[in-house]
Amino acid sequence: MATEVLEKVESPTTYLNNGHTVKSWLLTLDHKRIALLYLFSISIFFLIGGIYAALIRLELVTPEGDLLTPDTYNRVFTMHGVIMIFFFLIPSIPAVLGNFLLPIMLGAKDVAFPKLNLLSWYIFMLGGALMMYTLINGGIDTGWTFYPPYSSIYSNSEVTMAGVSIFITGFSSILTGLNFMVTIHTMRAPGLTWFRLPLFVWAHYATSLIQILGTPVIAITVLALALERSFQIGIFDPKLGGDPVLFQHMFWFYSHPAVYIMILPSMGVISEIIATSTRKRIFGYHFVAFSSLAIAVFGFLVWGHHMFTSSQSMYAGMVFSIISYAVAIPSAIKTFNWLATIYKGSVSFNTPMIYALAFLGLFTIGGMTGLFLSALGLDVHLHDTYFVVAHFHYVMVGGAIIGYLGAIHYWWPKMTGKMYPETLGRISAVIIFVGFNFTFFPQFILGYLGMPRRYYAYVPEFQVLHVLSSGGALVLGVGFILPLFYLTWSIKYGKKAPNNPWMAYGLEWQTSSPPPTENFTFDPVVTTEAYEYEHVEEIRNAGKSAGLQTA
Amino acid sequence: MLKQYLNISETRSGRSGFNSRSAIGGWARYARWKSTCLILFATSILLACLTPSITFAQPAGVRPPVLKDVGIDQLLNNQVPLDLTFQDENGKTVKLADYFGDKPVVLSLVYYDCPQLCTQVLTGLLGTLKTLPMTPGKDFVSLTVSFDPKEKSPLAAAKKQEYIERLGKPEAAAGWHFLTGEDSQIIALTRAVGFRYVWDPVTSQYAHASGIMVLTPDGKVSRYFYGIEYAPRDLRFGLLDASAGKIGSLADQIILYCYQYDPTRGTYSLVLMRLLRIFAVITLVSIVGLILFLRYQSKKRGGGSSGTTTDPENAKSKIGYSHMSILPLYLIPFLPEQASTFASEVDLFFFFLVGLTVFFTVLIGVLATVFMVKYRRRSEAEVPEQIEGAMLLEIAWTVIPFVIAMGIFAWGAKLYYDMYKEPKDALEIFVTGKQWMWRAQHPDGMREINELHIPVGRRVKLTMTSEDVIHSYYIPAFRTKADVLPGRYTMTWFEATKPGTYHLFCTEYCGTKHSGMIGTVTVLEPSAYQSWLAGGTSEGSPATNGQKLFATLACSTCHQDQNRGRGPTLAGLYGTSVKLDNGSSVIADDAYIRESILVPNAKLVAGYQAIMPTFQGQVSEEQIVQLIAYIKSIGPRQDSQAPASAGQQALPATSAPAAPGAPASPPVVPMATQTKK
Repeated sequence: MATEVLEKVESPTTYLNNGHTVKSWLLTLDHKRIALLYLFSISIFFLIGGIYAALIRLELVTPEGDLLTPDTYNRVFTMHGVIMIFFFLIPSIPAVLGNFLLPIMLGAKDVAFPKLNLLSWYIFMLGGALMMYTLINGGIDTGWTFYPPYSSIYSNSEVTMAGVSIFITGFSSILTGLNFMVTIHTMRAPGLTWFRLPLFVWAHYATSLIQILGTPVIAITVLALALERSFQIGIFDPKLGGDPVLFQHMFWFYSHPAVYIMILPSMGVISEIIATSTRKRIFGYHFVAFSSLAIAVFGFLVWGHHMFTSSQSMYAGMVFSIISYAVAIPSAIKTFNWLATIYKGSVSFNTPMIYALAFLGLFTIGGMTGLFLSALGLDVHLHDTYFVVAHFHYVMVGGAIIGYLGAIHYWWPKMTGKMYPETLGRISAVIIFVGFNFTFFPQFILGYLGMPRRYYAYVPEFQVLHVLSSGGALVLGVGFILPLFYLTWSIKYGKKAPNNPWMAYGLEWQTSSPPPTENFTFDPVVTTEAYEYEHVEEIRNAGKSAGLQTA
Repeated sequence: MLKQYLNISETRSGRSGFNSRSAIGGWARYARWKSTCLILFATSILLACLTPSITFAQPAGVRPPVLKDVGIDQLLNNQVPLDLTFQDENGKTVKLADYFGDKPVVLSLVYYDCPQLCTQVLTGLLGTLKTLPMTPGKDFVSLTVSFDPKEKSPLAAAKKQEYIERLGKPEAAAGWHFLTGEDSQIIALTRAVGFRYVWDPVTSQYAHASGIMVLTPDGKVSRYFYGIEYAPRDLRFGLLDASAGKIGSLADQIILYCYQYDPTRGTYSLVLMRLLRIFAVITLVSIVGLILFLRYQSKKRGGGSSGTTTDPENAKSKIGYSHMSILPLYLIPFLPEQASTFASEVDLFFFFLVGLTVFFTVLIGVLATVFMVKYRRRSEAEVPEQIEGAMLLEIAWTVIPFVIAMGIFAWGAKLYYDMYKEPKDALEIFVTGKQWMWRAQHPDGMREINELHIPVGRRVKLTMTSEDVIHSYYIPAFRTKADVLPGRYTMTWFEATKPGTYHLFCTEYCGTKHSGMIGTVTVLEPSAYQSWLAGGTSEGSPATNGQKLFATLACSTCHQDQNRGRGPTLAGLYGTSVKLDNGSSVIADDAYIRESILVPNAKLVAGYQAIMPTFQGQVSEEQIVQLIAYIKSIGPRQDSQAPASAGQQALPATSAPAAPGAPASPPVVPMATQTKK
C-alpha cells in the first residue's frame, strides 16, 4: 500500500522511459542504453554460437561422422569458436556491464566520449553483420586460430571476409578500452581516489590496457593473412617465402592476452558479488587490485606457451613456460583473497553468490589445469587434445560466462528496475554448474587418452566419454535457456526492485533502480573506502526495523 | 652465463632439423635469431621488474621545544673515542678500548639512582638478554654506563649483582660491565653516540631519552633501539650487523638479509623486495643449473658408444624406466597405454599434478563450504567485523604457489629437453605429411602410408616435413608429438618399450579430412622388424634413388667432381662449413641443402655465380630427402678437397645415414660410379 503511493508520488524519469522511439535507442548517447544495445546483440551471438556448440556435441555422440559432412563440421566448430570469442566473450562483461556500470561506479554522468561509445557499438555491429554474411555464405573452416598456410592458401571458405569482420570488430574493442581508460582517469567523483575504486573498476582498467595494446596486433595479423590470401604476398606461406610460425607468434601475442580480456572483468564481478554477499571489505584489496594489473602485464609475455610443439626453439619454450607460471600467481592470489573474504563474513546465498561460488570452484580447476599445459614435457602430450579444450572451457565458460551470468543477475534489478525470480535463478545456476561439469570434465580424460581436437569422427574407444559430454551439454543448454526466459519475463512481470536490493555498498546502489539518464539526481561525493559495510544505510535501517519488531 | 646460453641455442639450430632454418628467403636469419631475441627480451623484462626497490619515507623529526635538549641523535657510523677512561664496578680504572676489539658492544646509558626510566631500560635489556640466544661475554659485550658523574663504583657493583642474578646466567658477569666515570669522559661518550640529557632542577632528576645502542667491535655506532623494550630479534640482527659477519650462524646471516634496519623506527622490518630478489635469483640459478645439468646429462648419455642395445648407459636408463612403471599408476582408470620410455615419466608427472590439483581444489572447496555454512547470514542487519588483510598471509600465498610452480616448471623442462634433444644412434625415418596422409620412408627404402613399423627397444628419430599445410605427428601411447611444417624439417624421437599396435593421429587441424589423417604405429620385435623389412618391396635406398635423381635432373652437369663444373662439388660437402659470398659461412646440413635446391640463390657459395635454377615444383619433399641422402653418402671424408673445418667437429654422430648395427645397410656409393656419370 505504502509503496504504491510512493510510486505514484515519485513516477521518476529513468533512462528507460526517457524516450520510446527506435531513434531514441539507435542514436542514444546514454551509456546505459548502449549497454542494453550490446546486451541484446551479444545475446543473439551467444545463441548462434550455442547452436553451433549443440551441433558439435550432437555429431560427436557417435564415433562415425554421420550427422554432418566433414566440411560442415569444420565450419561448425570454427564458427562456434569465432562467434563465441570475438562476438560474445570479448565484449560480454566490458561492453554490457562495464558500459552500464563504470560511469555510475565513478559517480559520472556518462563515459568520457559518449559519441565514440555509440560508434563502438556500430563498428561492432558492422563486424557482426560481416560475420553473419560470412556465415550465410557457408562460414569458414580454418579453426578460430586461422593457422596458415591452411587459412591463406588451402581453405575454400570465406576467410578474407571473416578476417575483415574481425579486423573491424577489433576497433570496437580498442575504442571501448580507450573510452573506459580515459573515463577512469578523468571522471572519478570528488573523493574517489584510486584505492577507493571498486575492484570491478580495477579489473576493467587492466582489461582496457590489454584491449588497447593487444587488439592492434590481431588487426595487423588478420590483415597480413588477408593480403597473403588475396594477393599472394608471401608472409606466412613458405612456398611464397613466408614463415607459418611467425603467424602463430603474432596471433597468440594477441590471443593469449585476449583470454585475460575475457576473464579479468569476470574476476572484477566476482569481487563485487563476494563483497556484497558477505558484507565484507575484500580481503587484501590492494593485492586483488594489483594482481589484475600484473595479469594484464605478464599476460603479454606468455604467448609462446601455445607453441611448445610448433618447432620454436626449446629454450624459448622454457622462457615462455616459466613466465606462464609467473602469470598463474596473481590468479592464485585473487582466489585466496576471495576465500579469506568469506571467512567471518555474513554469507547470503542469493543467485549471484551461487554463481560466484561456482566460479571459485570451476576457475580453480581451470587454472590448475593451466599448470599442466604450461609444463613443457607434459604439454607435448596434451597439446591440441581435448584436455586443452576442457581447460579453456573451464576458464572461459566456468570463469568468464559464469561471471557474466552472476553479473547479469546481480545488477539486473539496477538495469531493469525489476527483480528476477530468485528461486528460478538459483535452480538454473545449479543446473548450469552440474551440466557444465558433466560436459567438460570427461573431456579432460578424453584429452589425456589422446583424443585430438577438431575431429569429426573418432576411434570408438572414446565414445563413452563423448556421450557423457554430450549429455552434459544438454543439461547445460537447459541451464542457459532458463535465464533467457525468466529474465525476459521479469522485465514485464518482475517485482519492482528497490534501489539497493542487496544492501550493498557502492555508488550504483545509491541511485534509483533503474537510474535516471544522468545517473544521479545529486552530485556524488565519496568519503569512505571501498566496501565499508558499516556505512551502508540499508543495513542500518534493517537493523532499526528489526529492533522495533523485537521491541 | 647468458652467452653460454645463447651459444647452446646457436649450435642447436645449426645442426638440428627441429629448429632448422626456414628453407626459403630471408626468414632464415630471422628464425635463427628468434630464440635469441625472445630470451633476451624476456630476461630483460624480468630484470626490469626486479630493479625498483622500496624506499622508506624519512619523516622529518619535529621535536617539542621543552625537550629540545633531550633525545637521541642518530650518529650512525660515528667513531666513539676508545681512549676514554671509566671505573668499572670493582673501582678499577678501565679504558673503553678494553671492551672493544673483537666483539660488538651493546651500550646502555643510564644512571643507577634513576627512579623510573633507567630501571625500565635495564629491565628491558635484561628481558631481551634472557631470550637472546647469545651470551654477553661470549658473543658480545654489554656496557652500562652511568651518565651521572656523582655515582661511583660501589653503587655500580650493587646494580651489577642485582641484574646478573635476575638474568640467571652467572657466566654473563664477565661480559656485562657497569661503569661510572668523570663528567668530561661521560660527556665525550654521550656526545659521540648522540645521547642528549639534561639536569632538571625541579624534579632533581635527569631528563633523558631511553634507548640502547649497538657499537661495532672497532667502536663505531651501528644501531639504535628506542624505548624500554627491545625485540630480541631486532637486537640479534643489530649485533649480527655490527659484527659484520663475525658472529652468528649462516642461517642467521641469510635471515638477516631479508630484514632491513629502519632507522626512523629503530626496528628491523622485512624487506619484501629483497625477498623477491632472492626468489628471482633462486629461479634464475635453478634455470641455468637445470640447463647445465641437462647438457651434462645428454653429453654423458651420448658418450660416443655406437651400439644401442649393448650400450650400458642405455640399459641402465631402461631399468630406470621400468622401475618407474612399477609405480601403481596402472591402478588408475583411464590411463592411456604406455609404450615408450617417455610414457611412464610423463604419467608420473601428470598424476603428480592431478594430486596437486585435487589438493588445492579440495582445500578451496572445503574451506569455502565451511565458511559459507559457519558464517551464513543470520539476520538482515548483520554487519560482520571488517578484516583489512594480512601481509603475512599474502606473502604466504604468493610465495608458496610460486615455489611449487617453479618445481613444476623444472620437472616439465627436464622432460621436454629429453623429448626434443636429438638422440644419438637413432634409427632415422623420414616422414612426410600431406593432406590427408602420412608417408614414411625407412633408411633402406621401405615406404609405407599411414603406418609406421618400428623395432622395440631402439631409438627412432623421425625427420618430418609437410608438402602443404601444418600437420602434427602424435602417438598418444608414446606421449610424443611434434608439428610437421611445410618448408622446414622438424624432429621427434621415441623408444618403444612394448610390441603392439598404437594410434597415430594428426593433431594440427589441416582441413576436410583432418580426422581421417590417422594411422597405426606397429612396434615389432627386432627380428620381426627385420623380416618385415625383408618382406616389403623396397624401391632401393634413399641414397641410390637420390643418385638416380641426381643424374635425371642433370645436377651432375654443373656439380662435377674436383670443382671442375660451374657449381661447387658436392662430394664431402655434408656437415662441413661452407663459405658464402657475403662472407658468412653456414653448416651444410639437411635444411641448407634443401634450401639450396629450392631457392639456390638464398645462400650463394663464395666464388660461384648465381646461375642455378630453382627446382621448386620439380622435386617432391621425398625426392629432396633422397637427394640429401645421396649427398650425405658421398661425404664427408672421401674427397680430399673437402675443407676441414670446425663444422666437422660440430657434426653430430646422428648425421651418419645409418648407425652401425642398424638393420639397413649403409648406402655407400663408390666414387667411380659417380664420376662415370
